[in-house]
Amino acid sequence: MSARTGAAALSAVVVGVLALAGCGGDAGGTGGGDGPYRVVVSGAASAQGVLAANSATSTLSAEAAAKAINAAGGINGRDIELVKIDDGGDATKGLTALQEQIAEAKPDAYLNSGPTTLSAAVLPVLARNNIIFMNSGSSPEAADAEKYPLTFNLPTLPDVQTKAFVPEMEKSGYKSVGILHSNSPFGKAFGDSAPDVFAEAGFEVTGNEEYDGAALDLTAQLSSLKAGNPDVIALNGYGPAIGYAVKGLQTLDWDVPILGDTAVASTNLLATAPPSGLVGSPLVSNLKMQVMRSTSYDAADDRVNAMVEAMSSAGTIKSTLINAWNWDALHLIAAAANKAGSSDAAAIAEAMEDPAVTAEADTAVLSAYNYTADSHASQPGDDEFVFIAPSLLRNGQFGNPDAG
Amino acid sequence: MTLLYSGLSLGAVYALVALGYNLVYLSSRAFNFAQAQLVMVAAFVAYTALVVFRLPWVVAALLAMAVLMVVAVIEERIALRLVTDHHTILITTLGFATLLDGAAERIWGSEALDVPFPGPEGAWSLLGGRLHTVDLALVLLAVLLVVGAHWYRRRFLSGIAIIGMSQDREAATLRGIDVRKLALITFAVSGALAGLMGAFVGPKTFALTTLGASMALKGFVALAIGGFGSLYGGLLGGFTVGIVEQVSARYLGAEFSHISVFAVLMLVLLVRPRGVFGRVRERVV
Repeated sequence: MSARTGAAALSAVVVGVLALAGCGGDAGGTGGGDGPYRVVVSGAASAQGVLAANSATSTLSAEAAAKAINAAGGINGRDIELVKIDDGGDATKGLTALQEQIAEAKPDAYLNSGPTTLSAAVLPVLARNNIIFMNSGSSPEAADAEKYPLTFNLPTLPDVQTKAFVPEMEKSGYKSVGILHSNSPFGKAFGDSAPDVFAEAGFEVTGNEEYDGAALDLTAQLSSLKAGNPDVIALNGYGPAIGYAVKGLQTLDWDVPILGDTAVASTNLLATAPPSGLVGSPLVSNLKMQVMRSTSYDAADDRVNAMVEAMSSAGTIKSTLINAWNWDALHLIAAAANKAGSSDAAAIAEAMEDPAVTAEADTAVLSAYNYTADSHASQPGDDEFVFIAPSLLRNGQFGNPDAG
Repeated sequence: MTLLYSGLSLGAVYALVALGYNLVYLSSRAFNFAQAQLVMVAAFVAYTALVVFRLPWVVAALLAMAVLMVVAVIEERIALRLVTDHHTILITTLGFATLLDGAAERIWGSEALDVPFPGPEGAWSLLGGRLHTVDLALVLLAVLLVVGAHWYRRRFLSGIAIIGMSQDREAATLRGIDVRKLALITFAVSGALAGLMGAFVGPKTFALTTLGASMALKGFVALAIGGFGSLYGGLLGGFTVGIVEQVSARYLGAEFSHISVFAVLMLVLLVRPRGVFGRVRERVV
């Protein structure tokens, strides 16, 4: 081999090694550049019951959003490519599926369909790989902007929802309140925060009772609350517990008004007509439940109606729009990328910390998220929540006159 | 008084589950961990008959009894008949319970379904307290079934045969009793009774897939308090658990509800290790 040939061969080897080193920085390469904007959507496709229905709505909202955004030019010119993975509602399964995707081709963004256990499991992996995470399983830890600069909570934390009770209680002229909550993590958070929130707002808290989520009768807890004679009961719970609560009130011959939280509004009994449900029953005549404004039908709300139309044309909406977070997730990314003029993860995250950007995004589940450089918690105004009577669901919304 | 009624009503639910445990225990010396799940499935069957097919309540209850009798026979065939060790039966019946939980969720979903009950809607007053019709019906059903089962065991030849079989299976066989057939019949009867119970329990608790798990543990505690194999003991145990649960939730808080129930259980077992009505059998060697 001549000296010239040897030098050329060495150069080729060096160039090759450098090229390989350049590719090896991220596991499996990145979706960046001019290719499609790759978004992994994790959902509990193989689950059953409520979890499956919620997950189906979550995934459907992502599909509808991707179609709408791609039609409008994509994420900074890049079409969204959705990759759906099945986590079965199980954190271990979801984490494994994500790691497989990262090994195959690193996604630009990751969306999930809710369980906080799954969010907690994938959070460090997504942070380590610099992937935007729009988190449907909100937690205080995930909202830490310093620790997780690329992660943004979509649902509000429990204290925000509790604070939204105050305007409704003031409007109704209540002076005192009794609290009834489950022993689930969400219920305990409600039971911890509600007394302080209500007391600070000037209400007398006459009682704070907890019940076991597996309880079959709540007469005892309601009897305790009745002894305090509150003007209203603030209720947290889900599923049969709501039925036990209203039956317990009937047993005690107590017609106190009830304000239920968003968990109460997710209860199918309150979205189904008798005989299998309670809509229109005298049992729930005193009950109002907290929903996001988008979950209550309004013919004049163009943004929400556009989302509903896009989702219903893509498939059947199987649960309330409270699970349609991924519509907002992709629109927030699109707005931030447009503002930043880049689809780079760090640039998108920085743009998303500007409240003006999230306010202008075509989100529908919430109209504003108000992320800041210090906190990536979703912080909408109190007016994002309304209290409504139970009614039948249509296209994931309560109060639609066409629902029957 | 209202609290006492709700405690008795809840206790009747546990007592009914304990009765099912006892019937199988007396005939097979086996503990059927799927008993509460049989009641849960019965609540769903009653719901389907009443709401989907709009059948009269009595027909729905009979249908639930028939369906659950078949399910119980299937359980006996696959979870008991093939197993000889009583300890293994705990596992196989637990497996069958899990199977029923999964099948119920697959068929009826995981949401609570309201099961109608005949009689006046709403609660009404009785002796200074208030209760729903179904609460009273549950208490009466529990008492009637226990008294009926006890009477049957004492008055009918097959009932006496069951007593003999429970005391010494081999001796009963030598006396000409077909223990396998009798065990199967008892299992079928316990299934039919579970069907009837479901038509009463569903209107109080709703039909839901977690119902079996909610009832199973407290039913077992009722049995332990009353004494394994004692029909009246199971009834007393059920009412005790229900009342203690409600009273402690009212005056101590829900977080003390379970603790109070298990404190009573420990107290009973310390004083009477075989339960209030449990008998110590001496064996002559």
